Amino acid sequence: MTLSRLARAALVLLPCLAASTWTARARADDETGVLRTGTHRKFESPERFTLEVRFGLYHPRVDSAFSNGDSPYRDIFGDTANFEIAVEFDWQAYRIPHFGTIGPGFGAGYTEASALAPLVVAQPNGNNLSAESTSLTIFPMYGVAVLRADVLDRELHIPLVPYGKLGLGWGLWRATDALGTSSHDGRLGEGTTLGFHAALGLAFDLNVLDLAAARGFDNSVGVNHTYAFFEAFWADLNGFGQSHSLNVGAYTWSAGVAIGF
Amino acid sequence: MDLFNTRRKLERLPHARVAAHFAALRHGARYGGDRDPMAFPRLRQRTWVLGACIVALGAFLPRPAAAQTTTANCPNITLSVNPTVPRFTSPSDTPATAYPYRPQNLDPTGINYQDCIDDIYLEFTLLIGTVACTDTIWVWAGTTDCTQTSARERNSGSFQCWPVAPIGAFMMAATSTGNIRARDIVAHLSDSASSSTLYTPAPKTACESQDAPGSVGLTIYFMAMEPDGATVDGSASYALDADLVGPYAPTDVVAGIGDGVIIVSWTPAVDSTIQGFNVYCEPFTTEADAATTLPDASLVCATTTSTATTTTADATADATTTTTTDAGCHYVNVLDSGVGGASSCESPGNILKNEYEIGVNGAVVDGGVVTEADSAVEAAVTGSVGISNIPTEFLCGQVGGNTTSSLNVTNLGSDGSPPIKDGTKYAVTVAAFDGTGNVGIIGNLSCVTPSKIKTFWDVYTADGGGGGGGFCALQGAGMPVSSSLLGIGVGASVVGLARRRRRRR
Repeated sequence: MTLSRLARAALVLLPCLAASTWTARARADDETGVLRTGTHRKFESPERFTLEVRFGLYHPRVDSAFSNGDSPYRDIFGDTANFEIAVEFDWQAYRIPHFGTIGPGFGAGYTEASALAPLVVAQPNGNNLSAESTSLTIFPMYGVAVLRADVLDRELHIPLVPYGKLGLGWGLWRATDALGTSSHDGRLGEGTTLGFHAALGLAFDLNVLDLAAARGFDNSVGVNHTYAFFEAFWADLNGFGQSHSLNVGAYTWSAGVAIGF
Repeated sequence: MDLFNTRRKLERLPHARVAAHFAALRHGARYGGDRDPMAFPRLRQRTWVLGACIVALGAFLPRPAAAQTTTANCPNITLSVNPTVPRFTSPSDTPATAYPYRPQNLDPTGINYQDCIDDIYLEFTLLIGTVACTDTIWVWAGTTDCTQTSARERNSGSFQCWPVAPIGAFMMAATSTGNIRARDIVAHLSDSASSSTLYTPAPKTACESQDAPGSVGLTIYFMAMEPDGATVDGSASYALDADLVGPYAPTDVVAGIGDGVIIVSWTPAVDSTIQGFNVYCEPFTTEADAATTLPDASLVCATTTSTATTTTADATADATTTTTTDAGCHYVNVLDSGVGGASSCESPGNILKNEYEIGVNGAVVDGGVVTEADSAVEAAVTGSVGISNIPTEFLCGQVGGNTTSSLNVTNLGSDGSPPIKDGTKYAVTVAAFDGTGNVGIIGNLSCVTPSKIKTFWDVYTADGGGGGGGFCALQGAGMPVSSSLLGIGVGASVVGLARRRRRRR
């Protein structure tokens, strides 16, 4: 419910913000005569890569693998989603005329769920929690093909860049307690789970807020565009449907900033 | 040579008669004239008498300075101290009595409480530049420049410097080696009472001369002193830190339940001298009780005034035992242990306590439990700072850092010691240690019984989860990896197609 509300809010706010700045940008170009899009683009540096830093919520779908109603993840960590931080690096390998770019990208993140482990036998005073933490640490990673439709931004002066990603994902994970990696009957609580990764997002080109600064940023360090983005993604890390794998994927969202350079 | 000197002395004598006789000798015609026929014999007689007197006088005259081998003092004497100062447990200074240095992070050249209690000796080597003089080597320590006469006087009302070795401990030689007791160096860290300026060996109680945490910078002065006892012709110094009190105790010590582990947490005191924390564990087992080694009770505020406590119920004895206070007293394991968790917690072997009841004869009695029979003669002492000397066999964890506040304990004692067992009750406490290795008094006691827990992995596997087994196991343990390979193949195909299409263009 929260995810959908945020997504709707972002979808409404970003176009409004874009529309409000579009007018200002046009007026500024008219006054100076040197910052027109065409003029700027004529002198801007080549743009080949994109670097994203993202933050979001992550609730691994561990319990989805249990069709009998068991919910080991929820029993220990509850229903609260965890914070995730991630980075992604894209190569805009090929430019599609009058549409955008496509190229490979690689992303890696980190998230952790932690809670006090319950006692096997509750204490006489009713307390059933130990002081020992039990955790599940996940490093979700993916290699995807990224399609960025920047035609709106470059040719129609609408500072919005919709994009999509599709590829393979894998999650390194580790279950730990106070003594290190958990183990049960000799089986270590660590592993790797593969799956698919897909995402849809919308980036807002922050250059329109200050064209002069954007041009200076490009001239000085080669950054062509700076974006704020919101993205919904499906990390379906379930071992490609296998039932006997720890599903560390999540259907969730993230937001962050990106630079094109 | 003596005759020659005598002649010279004679010539310098101012006596008028001597001058007159020599004048007569030089002008003999005046005595040998016709006017006095006895003049010459009289003159010869007087000359003999005079010569005898002169010879006798010359024998008692002092010799010229150039003929002496030493002077009264040596104002240009130079001294230096070898910076390497070995430590020994006795003045014999043999390898067998060598006292080990502390680790580098614990100020190995400083003096801490244990150095003082062990009564160690510091061996200093002086290099003296001029030895042919009558000066003697005085060795004083203090917090100020002890070469100043005023710093060595006690009329100022406070100790600034004090002698740390008897005169003669260091000889006047080109290389002079001597020992100085650590106790003598730290004997007057905090006191202000007057005492003799003469060297007096410090007693064991000197180790209690500090009443607040923190190191004190001391300097030992080796002074070439003239016989007047005030003029310093030359000096050398050696600086070191002394600290006889451990840091303030942590509070809110809580021993939490873990599975084969004790989760210990605490609130550190605000004390910049803290270098880290020691965690002590004592199991409630018979074996541990048998191994009990009580700390040295002779230093438990032997001179303090204590309040005797009369109780009749063992259960409430510790809680009601109160006490005393002597700010100058140096407490060893003093401060009543608290209560851990929901139930009362006591050290089973009476080890992890800051409080020791003392019987009328000064001996530590049964400590933690005051019985009706002995309650009338017991007293307790408390304080806020001091030293813990809990045997190291109960040290179950150590962690560095001034603000560290937790530690997971998995073993009793050092490496290779028994692991923490589920189902066994443990008394746990924490004490901070400072930069010279002093361990302060312990915090409150907390008791815990480690028990089985359910980790996420336990629950997951118990519910039938098949994942895990290692990072190289892509899927569930023991499961075929065909689907994984399929996925990887699909991915590789996508990449390959993309590259092929690009090449065609």
